[in-house]
Amino acid sequence: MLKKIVLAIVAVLFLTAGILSTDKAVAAEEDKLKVAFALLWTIDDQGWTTSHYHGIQKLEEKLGDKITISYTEKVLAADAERVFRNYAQQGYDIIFGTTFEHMDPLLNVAKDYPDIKFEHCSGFKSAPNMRNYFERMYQGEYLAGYMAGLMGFKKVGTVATQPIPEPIRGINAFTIGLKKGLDEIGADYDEDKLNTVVWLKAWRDVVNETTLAETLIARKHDLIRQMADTPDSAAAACAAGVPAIGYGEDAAQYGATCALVSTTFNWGQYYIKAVEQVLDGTWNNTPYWGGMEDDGILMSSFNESVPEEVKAKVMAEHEKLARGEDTIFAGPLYDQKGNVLYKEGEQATDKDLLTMRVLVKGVSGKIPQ
Amino acid sequence: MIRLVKKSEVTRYSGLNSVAIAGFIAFGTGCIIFGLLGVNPLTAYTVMFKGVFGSFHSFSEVLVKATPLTFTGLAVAVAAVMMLWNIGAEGQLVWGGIFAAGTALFLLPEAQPYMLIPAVLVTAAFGGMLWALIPGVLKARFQVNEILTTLLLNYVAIIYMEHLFYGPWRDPAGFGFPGTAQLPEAAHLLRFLGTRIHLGFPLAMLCAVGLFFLLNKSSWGYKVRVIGKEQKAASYAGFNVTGKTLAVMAISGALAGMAGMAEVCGIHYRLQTGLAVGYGYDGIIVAWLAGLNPLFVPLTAVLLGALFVGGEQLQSVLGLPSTISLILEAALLFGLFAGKAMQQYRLVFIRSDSIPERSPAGRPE
Repeated sequence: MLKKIVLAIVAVLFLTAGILSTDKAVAAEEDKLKVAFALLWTIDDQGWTTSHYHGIQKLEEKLGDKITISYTEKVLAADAERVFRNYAQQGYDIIFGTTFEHMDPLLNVAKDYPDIKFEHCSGFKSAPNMRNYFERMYQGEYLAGYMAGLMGFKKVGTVATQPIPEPIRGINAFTIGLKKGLDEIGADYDEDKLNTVVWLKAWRDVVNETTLAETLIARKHDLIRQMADTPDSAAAACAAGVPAIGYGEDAAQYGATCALVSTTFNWGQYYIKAVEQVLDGTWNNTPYWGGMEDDGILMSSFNESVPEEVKAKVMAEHEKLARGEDTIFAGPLYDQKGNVLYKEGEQATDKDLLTMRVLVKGVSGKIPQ
Repeated sequence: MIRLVKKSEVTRYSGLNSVAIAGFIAFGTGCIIFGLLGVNPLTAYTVMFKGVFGSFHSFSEVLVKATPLTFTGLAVAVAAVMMLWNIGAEGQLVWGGIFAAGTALFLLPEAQPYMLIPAVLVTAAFGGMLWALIPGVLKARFQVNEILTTLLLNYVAIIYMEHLFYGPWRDPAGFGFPGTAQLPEAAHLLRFLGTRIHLGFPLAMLCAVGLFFLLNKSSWGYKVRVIGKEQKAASYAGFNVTGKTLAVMAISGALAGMAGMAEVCGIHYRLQTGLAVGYGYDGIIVAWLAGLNPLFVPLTAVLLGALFVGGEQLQSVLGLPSTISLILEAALLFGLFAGKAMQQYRLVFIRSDSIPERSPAGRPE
């Protein structure tokens, strides 16, 4: 009896599945260039991975007739080498690793496949066939801080991610912009406590993002700066009636409607460039670190509560950055204790920025050791 | 009208049968999900099958996955035989990793492989053992429920590990990125045949065989199994339950610690984010699918490993979401429960006209 029932159920399952399905097996055409991406999380994470996925979509739109694209989600450290090797064995021509932990596995596989191009986002190790790429998010941070300063926010709370150079650079740029904005409107402020930083020690941690944002709001911070991959700290600010600034993707599109603006990645322009270089044979391993001059970093549309004259000033500063005039980390610049980091006339080099381990004056809180 | 009726006698299925039932239900669930996603289930399963058996390299990756799963599966199984629930294999795995990395980086950084490899093995097992003995002692001495303590200690272990690689153990040459420096090469487990299969794999197999003999062929193992079946009777027979609880938890923790060592010294070569990815919890499924038989644990670990590796292909080849392999894993677990239920209950079909009229109070007669 039981056997018959089981058999009947299986038969029904197969029939249902058969009716519902229309076979969409992908048959890769041999003459197309094959492009592969390994992603940190799922494509609907509303932040980091979503921004890369949007880049992949742009690439598909632009070059879809010349290439086939494949991607794998949730590629964690222990699995990364398998995923990369798999793509390499299937004859992919260019393979992207999109998070820091992909660096060593990518390098291992790159050594075994000298004819395949490898691209690593956010790292520092390279090979003749492996290039590093990143966008200058700190430029967006600077503009967002400048906007906040012009609007008179002077007790910002930042929910920061990993205490490593990339977020540190962003926090500093934001604070430099904030100070510039406040100076321009002639506001009074406590110059040691413009921007208070708390750390998630993770790229995404939905529970802690909310808790830390709520703690900052309870301490009367007037603006929440989201830095995590997910918009939950911005959403927590909205729920408490405090404005926020989004990161990575436009936080307002994911429910954090109080976001005054979001600083967003535009990976698509780089992916198109990199793949075109492979197509026309001009690819080389010179690291790419682009920003607003390439539209690699974009500001989302502003919230309607941002005054027109503030928008105009921010966009004027945006113009300068888009022309390649990046003087954000120009002296005089001081650390938290007031020691000179860069004298008048000096400026941080790219190497300084990439290894930055110090917070500037105006930031309250320290880098966890 | 269908009713579940308790059987007068429990049907015993062999371990293989319960895997078959669980696999069957997972397979069926997969068919529905694939169908809903607009992919022919046959195509999807073919892709998964090719992803696992398609090449020597892909199958080698299944064995790579099966290595930590075997260790954690054994860890859960040995405790469960005595009806102890070790949900803490994840935390014990982390401590195994911490001890292994600490030994290789700081204790014996200059040692030769013949010295260092045994040293990381022993210290990792020791680390896992220490962590498991906390709930072990609490259980044996104070009757504290081990399900809660083992589970909650996982989070403590993970946070402590993060503290180490963000803080005092961070790679000084790593630009502040989280993670320790790479372990010295002497601590890297030997890899075989140009794949990522490493020394941890044969070691896991040895542990499975050793545990089988310990549990089934020794008087100590006999006592552990009796305690698991009927603790009161065992106490009455004069078995030392407290001592056995401690010993079993120690062995369980040591096995989970070996999983951490295998991952750190065999795959990652450093302590970093991505060590605690749930192998400790997957071990629960592995152990119960194997019917708690140590000899079957490697097989079910390979099965689960194949599911993960094959599931990855669904994404890269068919563009399906990565969460599918998690759904299939969950279906396996539910299938297992269904199999257990079928041992104790049977389905009875009752014609609706034979259902007794309800009494005015609304209760069936």
